[in-house]
Amino acid sequence: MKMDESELIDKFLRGELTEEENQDFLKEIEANAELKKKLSLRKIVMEAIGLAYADKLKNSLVEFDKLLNRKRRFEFSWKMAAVFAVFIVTVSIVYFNVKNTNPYDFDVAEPGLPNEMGISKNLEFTRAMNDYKAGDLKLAAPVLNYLLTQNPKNDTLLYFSGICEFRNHNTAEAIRNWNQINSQSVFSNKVEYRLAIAYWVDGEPEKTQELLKKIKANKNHPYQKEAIKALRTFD
Amino acid sequence: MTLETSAIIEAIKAGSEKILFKLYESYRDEFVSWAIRNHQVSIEEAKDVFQESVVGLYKNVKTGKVDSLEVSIKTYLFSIGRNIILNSIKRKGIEAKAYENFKEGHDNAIHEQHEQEHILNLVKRLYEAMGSPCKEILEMYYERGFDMDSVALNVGYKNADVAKKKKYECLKALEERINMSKLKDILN
Repeated sequence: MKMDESELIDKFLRGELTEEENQDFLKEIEANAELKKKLSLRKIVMEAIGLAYADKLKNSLVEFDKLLNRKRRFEFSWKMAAVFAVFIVTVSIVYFNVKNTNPYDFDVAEPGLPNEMGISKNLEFTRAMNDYKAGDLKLAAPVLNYLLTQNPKNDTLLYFSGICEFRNHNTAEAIRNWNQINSQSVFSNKVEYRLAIAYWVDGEPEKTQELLKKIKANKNHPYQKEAIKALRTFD
Repeated sequence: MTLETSAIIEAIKAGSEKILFKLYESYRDEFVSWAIRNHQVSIEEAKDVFQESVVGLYKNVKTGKVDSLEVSIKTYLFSIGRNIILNSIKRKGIEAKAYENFKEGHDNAIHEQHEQEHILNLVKRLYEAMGSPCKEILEMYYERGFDMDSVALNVGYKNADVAKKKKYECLKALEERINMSKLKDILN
């Protein structure tokens, strides 16, 4: 079969001939048995290609199905990972919040006094301050309390003794010491905040909130930020 | 799936395979659940039926049985699937009955149909045995309805004339194989 004849058959089967060409072709088929046979064969070929394509499509869908399953499993893993991540974050937040409701976490650092200050001329105070700076509050507290018996109104002794007692979980002692510091002392602002936290530990949250709100309202207070943070736990 | 039914049918007519896979992905799970619930088939059977349904939709569009639909594509796919399941159940019953009532005899219509299927399968096998790019060219042109420009573009030929020449050679080779096979006598 020549290419032109083959093209003609294709065009006829695809409906690409003009009405006139179509009529001519139909007449030719009637007259030409060989062409009729070629047309039949082409129809069979086309049908067979269609069948093969349908099989191929079915197989492709089977493969696609496997791919979909893998994709869904992957998506599922991601969902699981997301759920796990949310769980971890939730647990962390809860842990963080629970942790932050511990008043001791709101205690602020106090480095202690340098030894060359006037009061440090007292050898026992210097030793106590060294113990305090070294974090050995069990040693520092009795020395400071002894010195307080010699000098009961000394605000420095009252302040640091209070810190030692507070950190040694003798909250009532700490509150008693800090309450003796008058409002003119250089430690008065710091004491205000420390008392708020001590009342919290001592189970008096109303007093704590009252003091913290007072500190919050004071823009010049050195512990304003800390007070705001502590107040949030009461929301 | 937001595509309109008519757009889907047009895409299938234009030879888009992508749309068929999209349909499969969109409705597979729903069909599987529906088939298991209503027809007590297994997951694998339900999936197999839905794959056949998508192929069925394709065939019906290509052969012009479906040109437009009054229902959604999803409903149409589900009804093909339902028919496949029901026919399969019915066939099992008929086959059992036919086996019981089997008598020797000769039915010309059945014989002719069987022979036609046999010829088609043999031609299909000869086609499937062809190498690349003949298989692809013939598939694109005869099955997926591409014009020669698109065939050339897809296969990477310079122009439609080169593709047309190659298509002719491929077809000639296939028809020669058919003529060389035992099909020659049947076809003549």
